[in-house]
Amino acid sequence: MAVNNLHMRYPCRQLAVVAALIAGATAACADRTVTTHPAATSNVSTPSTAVESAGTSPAVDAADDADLAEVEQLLRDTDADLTAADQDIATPEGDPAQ
Amino acid sequence: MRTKFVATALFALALTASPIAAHAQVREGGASSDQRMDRVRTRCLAQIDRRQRALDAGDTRLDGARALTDAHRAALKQIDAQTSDGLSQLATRIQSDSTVDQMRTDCRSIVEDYRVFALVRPRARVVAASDRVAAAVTRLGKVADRLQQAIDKAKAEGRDTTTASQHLAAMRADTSDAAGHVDGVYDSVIHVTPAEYNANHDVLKTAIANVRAGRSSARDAVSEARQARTALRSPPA
Repeated sequence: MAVNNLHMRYPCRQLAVVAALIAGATAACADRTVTTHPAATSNVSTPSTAVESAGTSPAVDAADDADLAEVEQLLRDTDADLTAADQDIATPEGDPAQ
Repeated sequence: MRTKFVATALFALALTASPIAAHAQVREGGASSDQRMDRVRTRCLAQIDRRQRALDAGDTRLDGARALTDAHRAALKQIDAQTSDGLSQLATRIQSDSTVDQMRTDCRSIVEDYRVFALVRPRARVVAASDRVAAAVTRLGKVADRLQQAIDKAKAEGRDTTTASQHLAAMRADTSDAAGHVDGVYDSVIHVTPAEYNANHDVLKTAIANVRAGRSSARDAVSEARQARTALRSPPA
């Protein structure tokens, strides 16, 4: 009898575990929806509103960003070349025969 | 009697030994002179190899240099090739130099007639840097044009664009300064010869200072561009 009761309870436990897992997963999905939705909304809406009020467009901003980033890279490379040129000039070539 | 004999023997020994010692000294002097020449030859050839490697590396750098114009790249690589050819011929001559004076002259020529490290290599860097600033100026011009359009549009919408316009004007002025600083840098350095460098070691100095000033102006222009954009984005008062 005791054995039979155990058998009867075991499937119920399995069901309970599955139900708990489904509930957990649902809650996790709900949490994710709740936490990500406003962030996604703010990411899209904030620049768009600002850009519209500035009279520009995201495409123009992106082009500016790309050009300014390229300019900054060019200037960094320029620095490196000038430093190397300075070092070359400051280093005496000496006399190989000596 | 015995003392006289010893003195005579010593005198005779001295007479016999002197020429032998002198001969040995000459032989030793000759051998060391040859060895010294070989040492100098090896050192000079190593210095030529060092310069050839630097020229090869310089060519590789020129091939990959961003924003360097094709014409400038070609001119710099031609200088490298001429320099390399000259050094190769010099190496051949040094191999066959038979006197110390010849070798001394040829070894000095490695430095004074080519100036790989003091002129050829830094000049290539200065030209590349100058072209980069020029490329930066072109891009800054595009950014300025787009900012102007944005300001015009914002103005048409009734917004106050005074601050943005001021930053844009400053940006254009800085960009123009940058262009002015690097304009002519290439022409001022490309034909400088090793002989001119020998007469004036500061021959690249002005060009370097100009490129540095151009870079600073371009950097200021970037800063003004960012401030103009920030001013345009700020909400209406």
